[in-house]
Amino acid sequence: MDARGLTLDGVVAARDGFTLTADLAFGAGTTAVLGPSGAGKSTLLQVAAGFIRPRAGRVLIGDEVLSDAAAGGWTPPWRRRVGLVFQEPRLWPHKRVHATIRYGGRYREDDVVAWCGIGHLLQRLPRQLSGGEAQRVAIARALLARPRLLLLDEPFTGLDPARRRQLRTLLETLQAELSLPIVCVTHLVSEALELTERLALLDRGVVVAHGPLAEVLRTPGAFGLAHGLGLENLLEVEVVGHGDGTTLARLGVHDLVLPHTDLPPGQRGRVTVRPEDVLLAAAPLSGVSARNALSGEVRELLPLEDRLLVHVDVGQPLRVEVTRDSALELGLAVGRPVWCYTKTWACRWWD
Amino acid sequence: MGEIVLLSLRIALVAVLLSLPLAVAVAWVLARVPFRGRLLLDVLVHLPLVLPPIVTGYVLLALFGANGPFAGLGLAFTSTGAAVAAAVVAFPLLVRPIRQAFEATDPGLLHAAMTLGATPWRAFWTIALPLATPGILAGALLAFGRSLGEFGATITFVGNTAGETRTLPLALFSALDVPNHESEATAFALASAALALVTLVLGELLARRSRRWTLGA
Repeated sequence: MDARGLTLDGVVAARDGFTLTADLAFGAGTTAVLGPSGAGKSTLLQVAAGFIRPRAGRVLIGDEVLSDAAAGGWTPPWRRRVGLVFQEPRLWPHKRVHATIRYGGRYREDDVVAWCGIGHLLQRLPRQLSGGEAQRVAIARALLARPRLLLLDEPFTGLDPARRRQLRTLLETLQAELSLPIVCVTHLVSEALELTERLALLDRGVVVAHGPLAEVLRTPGAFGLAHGLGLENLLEVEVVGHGDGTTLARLGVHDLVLPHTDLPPGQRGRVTVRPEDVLLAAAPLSGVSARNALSGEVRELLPLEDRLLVHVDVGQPLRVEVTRDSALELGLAVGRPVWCYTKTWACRWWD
Repeated sequence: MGEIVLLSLRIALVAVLLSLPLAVAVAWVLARVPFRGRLLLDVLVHLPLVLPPIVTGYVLLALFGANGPFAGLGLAFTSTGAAVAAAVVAFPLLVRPIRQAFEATDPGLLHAAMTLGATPWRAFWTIALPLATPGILAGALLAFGRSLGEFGATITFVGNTAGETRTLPLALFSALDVPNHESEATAFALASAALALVTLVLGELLARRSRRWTLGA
């Protein structure tokens, strides 16, 4: 068992006729809890924070037991030191930012204020903050109370790409500076992958799979679920220049033609591509309109219900969906070189 | 005249200050604490609103009068007794806006405080109560206004003693009994109306200001 992270040991928790069953250790680092709405993601957070008392099982942080249904042990929310950042920031309308963030303590106040970038907001009231600012204040408020675990509920919802990038940088800083275990709830695969490759996939109150993305996708039934949650490839590229309505970028040795972005040349950014929008070829193609060719090697073949998910290493992992028939025809096998093609407009800038 | 107005104001003020802590507690329980018998409490709190004030006065007399179980408190026929009568009659008006303010506050704001280490008690004092300020002010002024006008329960419970329990409405009532005192009665009536008006305007102004403070409206 990990020394610091959250563990749900055979937990059964019910609320409003809905039951969550969870048996997993989150460990240190960042874990994304992923699932469609109604899967029990928020219930899981409420159990961890102590607002729902499980009917069975134990809740632990590190080796400290917070809740033990069998033994009757129970730590109330205000003694758990579990930070919870709600989907709506839930700032108090009558308190200025400086009083708000100090409510729970003043742990590394100057650092936190700097990381969250809220130094210029301290005298403001919540109504004078934008959505992104309010969220950063809510995160700072949680951190100053010196939590042992940080829970985030859909933190990326409603943020534009620039704010999302800011939030990601902030969470990375927290990992590096405080080595704070983070559990982040989201309903989009892309948002989860924004933060971490370690996922817990939830559906109808049950943990379907957990572990690294590749492992999760191998679990029966998980791919269909992940696919419904917008499973996409996230590729990191470097902007080279701008063409006529397009942007030229480089991914390793490959040149890409992408939709226009405002990022300047030399800047790195990320692009999403759906697995079903990539064309796989056994040999280089000529005379096609698709502008982006990425050569790589097949690393893994995942048979799914009605198709095959091919993991191609093009310098970064690229997941491609093909039918079983075409996989046979192409003679796909692990280690085989392949060429992946995408249209410019099938790629979208994430940043 | 001035003496009567001052006595009326004093009795109304004491009535509100006396019942405010209980009203806040009852409003919180009605708004946020689910329990068996909540309906009963709700009905009990609202009873003085629909009960003839003379009945309320009679009940008070039965409880605190010379032969009542609480006679020892010595409330009957005193100005403190007048404040108690006014407090009981105005109680529903005091509780209602406070309760509505508590109900309108997102419980998530209190949950947020608890994840930061605040006990429910601290969360109540630092978050719920300040956010209910507009409701508390509205209730207090409404109850104050109602207390100024209290007549039936007062005259039944504490009588009509000049300088002790003779508030404006009671003074008006007495003036009507004396021949050729119409001008005095009119003066009392005008004073009552003026006080009521000032109370309501003040209440509205304070409520607006505090709403801007707490809700940022």
